[in-house]
Amino acid sequence: MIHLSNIERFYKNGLLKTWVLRDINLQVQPGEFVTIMGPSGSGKTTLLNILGMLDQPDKGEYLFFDEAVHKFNEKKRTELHKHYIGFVFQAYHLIDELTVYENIETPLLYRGVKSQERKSLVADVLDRFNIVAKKDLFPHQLSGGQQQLVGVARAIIGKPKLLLADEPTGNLHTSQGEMIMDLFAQLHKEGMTILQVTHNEKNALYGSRVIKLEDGFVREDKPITPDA
Amino acid sequence: MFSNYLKITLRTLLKQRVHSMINLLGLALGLACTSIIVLWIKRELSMNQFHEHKAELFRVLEHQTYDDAVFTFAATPGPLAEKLKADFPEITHASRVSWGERSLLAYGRESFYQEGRSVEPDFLEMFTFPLLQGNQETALSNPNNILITRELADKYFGGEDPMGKVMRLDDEADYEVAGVLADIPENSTLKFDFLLPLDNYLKQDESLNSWNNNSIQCYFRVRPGVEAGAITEKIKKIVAENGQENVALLAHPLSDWYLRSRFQDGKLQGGRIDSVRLFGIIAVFILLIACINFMNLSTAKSANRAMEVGVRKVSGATRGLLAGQFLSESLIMSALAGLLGIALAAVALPYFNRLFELELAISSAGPGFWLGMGAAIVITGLVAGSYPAFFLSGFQPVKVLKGLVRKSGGAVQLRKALVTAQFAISVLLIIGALVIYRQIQFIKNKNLGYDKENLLYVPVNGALWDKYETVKTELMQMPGILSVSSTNGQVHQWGNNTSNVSWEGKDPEQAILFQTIPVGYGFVKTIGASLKAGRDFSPEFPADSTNFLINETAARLMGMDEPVGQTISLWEETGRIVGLLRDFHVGSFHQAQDPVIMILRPWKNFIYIRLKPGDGLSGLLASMEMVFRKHNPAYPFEYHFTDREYEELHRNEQRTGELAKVFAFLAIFVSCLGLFGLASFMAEQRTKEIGIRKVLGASVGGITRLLTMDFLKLALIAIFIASPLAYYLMNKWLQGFAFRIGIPWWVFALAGLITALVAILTVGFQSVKAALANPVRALRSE
Repeated sequence: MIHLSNIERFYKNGLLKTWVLRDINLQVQPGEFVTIMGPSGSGKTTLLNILGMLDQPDKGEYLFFDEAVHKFNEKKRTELHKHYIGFVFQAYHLIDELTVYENIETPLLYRGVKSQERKSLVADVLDRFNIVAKKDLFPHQLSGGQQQLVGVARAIIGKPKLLLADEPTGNLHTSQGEMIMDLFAQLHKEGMTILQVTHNEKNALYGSRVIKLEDGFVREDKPITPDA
Repeated sequence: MFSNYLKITLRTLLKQRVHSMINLLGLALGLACTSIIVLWIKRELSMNQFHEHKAELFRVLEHQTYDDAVFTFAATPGPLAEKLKADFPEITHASRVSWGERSLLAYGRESFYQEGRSVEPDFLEMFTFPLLQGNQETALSNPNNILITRELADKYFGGEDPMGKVMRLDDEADYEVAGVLADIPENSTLKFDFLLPLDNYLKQDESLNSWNNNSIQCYFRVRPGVEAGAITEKIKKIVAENGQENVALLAHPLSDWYLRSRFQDGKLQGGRIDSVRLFGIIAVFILLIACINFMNLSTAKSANRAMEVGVRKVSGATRGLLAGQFLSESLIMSALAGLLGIALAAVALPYFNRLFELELAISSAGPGFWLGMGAAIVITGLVAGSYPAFFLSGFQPVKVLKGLVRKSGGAVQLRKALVTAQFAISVLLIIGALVIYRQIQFIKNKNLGYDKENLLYVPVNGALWDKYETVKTELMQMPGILSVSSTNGQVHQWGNNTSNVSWEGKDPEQAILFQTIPVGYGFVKTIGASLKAGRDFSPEFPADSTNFLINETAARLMGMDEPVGQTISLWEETGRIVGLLRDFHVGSFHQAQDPVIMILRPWKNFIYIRLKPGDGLSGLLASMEMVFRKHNPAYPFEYHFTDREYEELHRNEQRTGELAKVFAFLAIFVSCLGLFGLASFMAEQRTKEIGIRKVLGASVGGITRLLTMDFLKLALIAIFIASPLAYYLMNKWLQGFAFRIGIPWWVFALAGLITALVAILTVGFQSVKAALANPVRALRSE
């Protein structure tokens, strides 16, 4: 599903080149739950952004379902990303002016989904996440965990093939974090491909594979055994 | 999708109240100005447009060439109209039209002053002044018929049928009502209460039969499709061929009568159209300032919305869709502002109407106005929203979600440029308002060479013609009256001139236009003019009936150093110059100083009365009325004060001045609104910087200065940009006055000072607030 080869990302600062990612080779199969770990500044988020097509590599190839993403223009990338990828952020990034319902609905609007269908899709998700009672509240009226729940709901409403999560529990209390991680595990079980970035060793255990980055290189890439 | 935008817009509006109020109020004020100005422009452009044959109607103007200049008049020789109709097949109708005479019109016991015009039968077929009653073919064929407007019919006859009733004019002639005209539309430049056949008017004035005298207006109608240029070319030389060699005719088309009628040296110099353009531009300026506010505040606040943009992009929004969202937001805003603006305009209209003596109303505006306003609202929305749409939609989600959006140098530069533009427009308007105000004060207070205060004049009519001497004697006995004299025109707007003057050593080719003023004894003293040499006319010198008084300009033009005692001739009659007058004004300040020749004649259209300054005016007027009513019982006592009438001459400038003041204030106010918002935002954004500076020991004053200087610099740049432009434009405006002020340097300084002061006050408030904030709190929030 994802095929990265020799991906490089760097910043030029005058004559100085600062590497963020170097020589990344990575394959992800459908249905995997991959955790990317590493210290601050190791390039985790950049990698996630490249995978999510929000950022472009300076070198290397990125194949997504055998399509060469690195050759696409912005419009085509947006198109691809709109239909295949969902994002969850550490800071939730809900739109303050929109209610829970409207926040979840937003991606559907941009896909041109009909009003009736939107209603039923949003209703399903609200139901599933147990937040029907909260649908008319605004983000600031919710707890962090609830906001992130909405964030996840919004990310998966369009039934993406790939869910990307950048420290999804970074701002949450332990119990709320566990709730979100359980949800991820559940989604994974249903067949969703998930890539998450986290510092938290415990969260990594929910996944099926861990990739460790250091100074832009992949240092370690190993599957997780249920008992480990 | 749109409902989603609408929701977001309204919620953003409510969430950021101050910011929204500034935006809304600014745009609403801009649109209120626009809607008033659109209404007014529509009215100006509609002048005379109600005539069915508007494209075929012309007025004849004369360009008269003299040595130093070409003057343009609407007066033409009497025989012209008939000649035009006879000689040119493309001219189908022509009519002489009198200037509009005020006469006492009476029916039974009802008696009022009304304005009438004497016209020829073609008049009714040329102009669309429809007859409600009466026969258009025959209505003007009987010399003793009168046509009255419906308003007049109601006034004199109430419910009765006016047809066939006999009305008395000036207590000397009877006219039979032969028709009732529909009321004259408000937007007609030809105004009258009644029409008379020209016959009796012709009988009163022999000179109307001559080609050598220009004393009546001539209008004509052509076949459809005949161009103004073509017909001018054909008729141009008619008057010249018949004796007045310095005259070229011009066919002035109807559409230009009101808007383009100012000629200078024989060339069209504009007219009302200049005001139309000026205020059109001002409306656009104010709207632009409001748009700039909108753009500035939106881009400044963009950091707050950057996250939203990022999330939407991650959710699949394309740049186009986002641009659409921001554009619809600004369109919604401008629509709201438009509604508010039209409401504001409705409130402000009575004031505007009073100032301009107009009857504009939004309720009767018609589809043109709503279409125009709709267009203004949409354009405003698009202009105001264009930059935010372009700017915000270009954010890269990776960056904004990381919070890296603040250092957008381009936007800051643009914001500065826009604020500078706002300041520049404000400075321009302030300088304009100051210069116009000063010029008007100058006109009001300038020494005219005669004393217009306490100078009263009474039009002569009825029995007064014969009883002048008696009336004068009785008036002179009143203690409040210093002197009484007569003349045949109004001093503050003299309009009787001739080039038929000769003197020793005159170049026979030379043609100079002299103002000729026929006066009675004591005129110089009465109007308060002063003699530089010689003496006034006096009954002690019987020869004075052929003698002259001239003014300094006349002496200079005739090349006389010692004019008193020299011989000149006027209208082929020779006499001696007995006195030299200091120059005095015989017109508005648009006219240059004219050479003047005074002659002693008993032609007394007006009695001039010099009052003793002081109170008791109403008692004096009452006793004067008694004298006039006693000797002239058929007429009401009518009088005018010269100073007030003089001010009336400059009414247009005064109004322009008033408006310039209002608009300058509005422009500054709207700019300030934007500045206030921007400053508060800047202070908010620099909270951390301010906190650090304070921790490092900066004083409140220092920080206030730091924040204020940013804007002050922009104000200074704006002053330097706007000053030369203002100088150029105001100089051009002043060119329209023969007597004008210079533009002193301090006008620019004052305008700059006002702008800078307003900027400091607006920004300073926010700066002090930011500077006083507790730094610990500011730093903790990071």
